[in-house]
Amino acid sequence: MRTHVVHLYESIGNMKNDFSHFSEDLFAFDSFPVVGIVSNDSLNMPSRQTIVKELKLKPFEIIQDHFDLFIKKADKLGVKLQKIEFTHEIEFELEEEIDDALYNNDYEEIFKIIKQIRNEHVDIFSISFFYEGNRYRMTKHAVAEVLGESSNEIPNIIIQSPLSLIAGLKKFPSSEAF
Amino acid sequence: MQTIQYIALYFIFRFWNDSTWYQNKEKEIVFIVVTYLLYLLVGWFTWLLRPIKIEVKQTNSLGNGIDQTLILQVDGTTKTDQSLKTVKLELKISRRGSIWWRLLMRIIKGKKLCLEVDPVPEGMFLQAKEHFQIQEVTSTYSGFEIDLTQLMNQLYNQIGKLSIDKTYLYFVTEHQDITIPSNLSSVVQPKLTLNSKPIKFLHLFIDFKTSQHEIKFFKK
Repeated sequence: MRTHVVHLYESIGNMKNDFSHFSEDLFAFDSFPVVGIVSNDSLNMPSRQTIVKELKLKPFEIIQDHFDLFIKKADKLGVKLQKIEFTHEIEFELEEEIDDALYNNDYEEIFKIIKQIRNEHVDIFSISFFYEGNRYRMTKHAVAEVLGESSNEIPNIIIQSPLSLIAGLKKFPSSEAF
Repeated sequence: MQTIQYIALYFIFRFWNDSTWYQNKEKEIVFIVVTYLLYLLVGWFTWLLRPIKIEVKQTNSLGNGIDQTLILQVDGTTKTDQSLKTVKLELKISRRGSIWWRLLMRIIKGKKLCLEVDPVPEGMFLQAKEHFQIQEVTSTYSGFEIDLTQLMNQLYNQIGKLSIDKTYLYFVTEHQDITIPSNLSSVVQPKLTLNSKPIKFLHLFIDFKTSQHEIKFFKK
C-alpha cells in the first residue's frame, strides 16, 4: 500500500477509447466525464502536462460548498477530519480553535468557524481525513491523495470514498436520509 | 425610407411646373407602397408571433445589476474567493401560442438546441457549478453549454402562454495548471446554437436576448 497522488480532470467529448493505451497512469471513470492522472517520477512516461495538453483535458476547481458540507456532515459520513488548510493565513486564534475542535471531533464547531473565515473571503485549500482507517486528502485543485495497492483500483477507491462527494461526482445525502 | 423618398420625388416633380416626369408614375407608386406594406406585415408577423422568447441575464453574485466580475491575483495567490467570482446566469424562457410552432419544431427535430456559454477571447476556463449533477449542463473546453432541446419539446406540448425561469451558477476556474495572461479581460455573451452552429435564421422563430458579462483578471 502506498499513497497515490491523483490529479482529476474533466474529459471533454467522447474519447473514452482513445486514451486507454495512452499511459498507464491515466484512468477514466465509467459513469463520469472525469479522468485521473497518477503522479509519477518515471522518465519513460509522458508527463502530466503532456497528457493534459494532448487530450485537451479540462482542469476543474472543487466547489467550496462541498468542503463545507463535508465538514458539516463528517460525523454522519463516518469521517474523521485530520487537517484543514486555507488559501490564506488565518488568525492564530481561529487556527487554535480549529485545532481544538479537530482534536475533540467537534465538527459543528469547525463548521461555524469556517463560516466565520468565509466572511473574510478566505477559501479552503485542502482537507485531509480518515475514512475506514485510510487517510485521504483533496485539494481545491481536484488533486486527491488515496492509499492503494495499484493504480487500477484508484477509480473505485475514489468513487466509494467521500472523495467523490467533495469532487461533486456524487450528491451529498440529504439530511432526511439519516 | 426609399419608398418615402420616391413618393416625395413624385410630389416635387408634380408641382414643378416645367416637368412632366410625374406623368404615368401612379402605377409605380402603388406598386412600391403595396410591396412596402407587405414587407412591414411580414416583419410584424414574425416579431409578434415568435413562439419562443429566451432571455439571458448574467450578474455577479454580489448583487443585482452587477455585470462585471473582477479577479485579483497578488504574488501568485488569488485575493478573490470563490463566492466573489461566482456569476449568476438567469435564463427566462417564455412560450406563446403561435402558428409557427410546428415549423420551428420541424426544423429543430433530431437536432440539439443549446445555449453556449464561452468567454471571448479564450484564455480563461468557465466552470458551471454542480455540472456533474445537472443533466442538461455539459462542459465544453473553455466553458459549458445548456441543452434546451428537451425543454423545447415540453413547451411545445403546452398550451397558451407559459414562462419558466432557471438559474445556473458559474465561475472562472483557477488551477495550478492554468496560466492566465496578465490583465486578461473577457466578455461572456451566451449564444444559441443548433447542432453547435449559430442559429442564424432561426432568430425568426426565437426571440433571443442576452446580456454581456465582463470578467477581468488582474495580476499584481
